[in-house]
Amino acid sequence: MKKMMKLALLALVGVLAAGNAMAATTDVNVTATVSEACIATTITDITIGAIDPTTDTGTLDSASHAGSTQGQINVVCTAGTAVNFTALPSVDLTGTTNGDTLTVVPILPAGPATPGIAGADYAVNASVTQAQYQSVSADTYTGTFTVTVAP
Amino acid sequence: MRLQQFSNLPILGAVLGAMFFPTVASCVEMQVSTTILLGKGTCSIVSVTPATFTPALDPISAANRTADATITVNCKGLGNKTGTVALQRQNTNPLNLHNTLTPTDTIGYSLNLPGSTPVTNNTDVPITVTATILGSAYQNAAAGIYTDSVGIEVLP
Repeated sequence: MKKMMKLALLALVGVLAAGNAMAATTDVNVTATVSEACIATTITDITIGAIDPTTDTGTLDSASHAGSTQGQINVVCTAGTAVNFTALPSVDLTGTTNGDTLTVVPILPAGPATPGIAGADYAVNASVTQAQYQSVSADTYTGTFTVTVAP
Repeated sequence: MRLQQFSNLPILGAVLGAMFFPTVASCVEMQVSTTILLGKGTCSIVSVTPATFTPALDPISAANRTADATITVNCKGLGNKTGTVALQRQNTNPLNLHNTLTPTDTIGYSLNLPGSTPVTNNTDVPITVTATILGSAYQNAAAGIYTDSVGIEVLP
């Protein structure tokens, strides 16, 4: 009889132990990285107004020379991300008729800039020296250059 | 003295009987029963893999993103029956990822916990937990690494 009582007691203890045990718990880690992203879009191309090598003097640029149009780009970046603008130091434009080369110099926005996620517009210009525009034949010159916007 | 020797005889006889004569066993069936409950303690967490948003969040595209964590559980005491487990958070605080450098910068997110997952006895069962970040939640976030740790409870 004593043995039977012990067995029953042990079984009861087992049941209680299972019922009162703590739930299994764990911590799940969640991680995300927000990138320093930027995107630039051309709004307006650059036009340097017509140049008369016989009357124009000095270096001319699209920001101030008569008949010019400033270039404009829109930049959107991750909030708080500061960016700088870079481009090749000079760009060769090609005469559409005679194929002459007119070298111009990009004029970039001062950096660093923080356009933010709302974005901001920045002026981009180009200049041409008197020596350059006096050394080429009359023609329309075109070319492109890349502005890199990077943190 | 003589009386004492006499009184010991039955004892001696019984011992001799046990040693030299077959005994008749007395048998009784004793029923033993118990119930093994599928209590909370019967399921254990075998492993946990974190939820990592890969690739990095791009605030410019600001698309809704998801990342999965896996909690592998093992339940005992089910015998040959199928049980179920459920996951729940240990608290109901709002879920926010915190910038590791500036913890006050946060990105809200949600966690989808499966309500009920079938389990079989002593078998590792992976349970997927999905974290979701809406594009609007990180569109204005500064660049950096954001983390959080969420307490999860496994309930039978």
